[in-house]
Amino acid sequence: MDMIRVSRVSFKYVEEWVLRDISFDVKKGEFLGVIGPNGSGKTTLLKSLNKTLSPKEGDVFINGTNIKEIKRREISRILGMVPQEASIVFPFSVLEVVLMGRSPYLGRLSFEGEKDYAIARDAMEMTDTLSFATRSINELSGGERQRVLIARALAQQPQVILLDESTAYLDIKHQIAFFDLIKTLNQKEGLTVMAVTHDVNLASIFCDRIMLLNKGTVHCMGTPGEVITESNIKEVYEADVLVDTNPQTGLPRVTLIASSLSDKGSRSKADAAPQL
Amino acid sequence: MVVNLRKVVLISLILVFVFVVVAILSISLGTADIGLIKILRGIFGWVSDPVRGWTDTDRVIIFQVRLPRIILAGIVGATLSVSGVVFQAIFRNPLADPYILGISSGSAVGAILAIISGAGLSFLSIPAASFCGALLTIMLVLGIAGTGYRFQTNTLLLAGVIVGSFFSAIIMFLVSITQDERLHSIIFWLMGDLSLSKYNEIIIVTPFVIIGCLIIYLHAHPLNLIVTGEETALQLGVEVERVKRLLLITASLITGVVVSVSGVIGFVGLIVPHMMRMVFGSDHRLLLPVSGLFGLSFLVVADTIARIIIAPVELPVGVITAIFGAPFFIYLLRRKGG
Repeated sequence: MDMIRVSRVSFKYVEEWVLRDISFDVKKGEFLGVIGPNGSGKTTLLKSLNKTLSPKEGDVFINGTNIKEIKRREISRILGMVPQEASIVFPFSVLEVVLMGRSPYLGRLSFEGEKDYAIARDAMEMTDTLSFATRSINELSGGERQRVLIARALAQQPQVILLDESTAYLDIKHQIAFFDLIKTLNQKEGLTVMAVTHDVNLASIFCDRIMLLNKGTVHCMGTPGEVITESNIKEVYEADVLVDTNPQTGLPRVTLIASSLSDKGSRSKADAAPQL
Repeated sequence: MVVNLRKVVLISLILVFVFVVVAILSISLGTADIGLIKILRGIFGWVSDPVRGWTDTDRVIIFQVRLPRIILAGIVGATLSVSGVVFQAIFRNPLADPYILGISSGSAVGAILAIISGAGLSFLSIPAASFCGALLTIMLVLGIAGTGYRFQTNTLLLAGVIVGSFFSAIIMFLVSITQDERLHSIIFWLMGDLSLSKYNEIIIVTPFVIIGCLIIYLHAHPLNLIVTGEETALQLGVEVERVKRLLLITASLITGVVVSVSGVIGFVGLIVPHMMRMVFGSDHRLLLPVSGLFGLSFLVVADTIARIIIAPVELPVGVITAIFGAPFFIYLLRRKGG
């Protein structure tokens, strides 16, 4: 069964349509990547799935039920989201922040119980954040803080995890570690993953399928091999890249081409110069 | 610091005990010296007749002058502190306070009009006029900022500042055309003054404050999530708009209620939440009750100082809170900048 089904969704903040008539499915247990240039609507799409934003047109279904019919609290037990970053002004400890992931399960005036602590501890162990559990979230580095947010999402025990460029501020080690962790959960626990990312190579390595967004529409969707091609990238990103095969995985590998260094690039630069 | 129910109850009980001690000390202090021993003897009945040790004068001072004033100071201090916590949380700004939406100015316009028109002679009419001013302010600010279904926090803040300055201009105008002893009343009201506290006021104010604080406490945990970001709160299951709207209105109303009987007592609603956050952390399930309960003692202490520091002259309590509050505020600003 489809975990998430998006049917003819359109969204605009004010005037301009950010998403135009988008439809797709996310299968249960799938690892779906979403790539596309700045302003293509990736984050907006993600936020339309968990009622952070309400689509102006179209419907989103989770497990076959329209999200308009599901309470926010209920949604937060199914969908966990890791934002790009969080500015938390007040001095909450890391443990407190992770425990907030348990709030969809807490009663109005109740406090976290043994079970909630155990789940939070597990989440912190998985994300390598247990060692600074008592420190204030404000004292952490960007990368450490990001891992705390991941732990919080895991503490929600969601069926689906939505990643909004969650690794943008992590170093290479933690980027890989993070995606490895998510992939493990994906394979072992059947966690469905939908990851918005700028890193086309990471998407290629980890995703079962990739959706390429362009100006609010789905440019194409398919396996990494189908989507990540020189022509697709050129068309959508308006950037020249070299796509070859990663010898280790057999998956497409993207290499950026700096136009100032390539022959073709320097020529076009020279052509453009008189106009400046 | 991780919070559980036991911790909340325990710390709350300690703070209640602190308040009782503070209140007893405060009763014993003042121009007419009653003496701590005498007070204690009366309270604990160390003589067969509990009030034998107290003269009629003592009893008038204790029950008609000091006790109502202490109780009212406590209620006002607690309310402003709780309200301050709410405003700081919703605006996600540790420098917000209960007056940030201009309620103080609106209340003041109401109170000043009552004083000038002479209606203030009947003692409940100043609070009534002041509360009307507060209500008007709340409606104006929410009306300007709440276009349709959604409060934009920044718009709200701006609306508050603008409505506040507009009412401040009216206050200036009213003050500048007033000359006689009414000017003195106005100035005392503007600085926050508890010297005329009466039981009637306590009886009217208390139910509002209790209901308001209960509503707020029921949303303590959603406030934690809202503080970490409105989108995050949405994603963790909080109906952010509904909670924000409800708590803003509740906190504004109880602020309006206590300001109407005490005048504009500054800094309490800013400092107490801060001190409590430094000591007990940011979890609102603990922060709200400890701020309220510490606020009780805090304002009683400040008001006691206001009574006795240059006795027999009594200062408005707002002078004391400002004298201690302003440097603390600067310290916070510097800390934030650094």
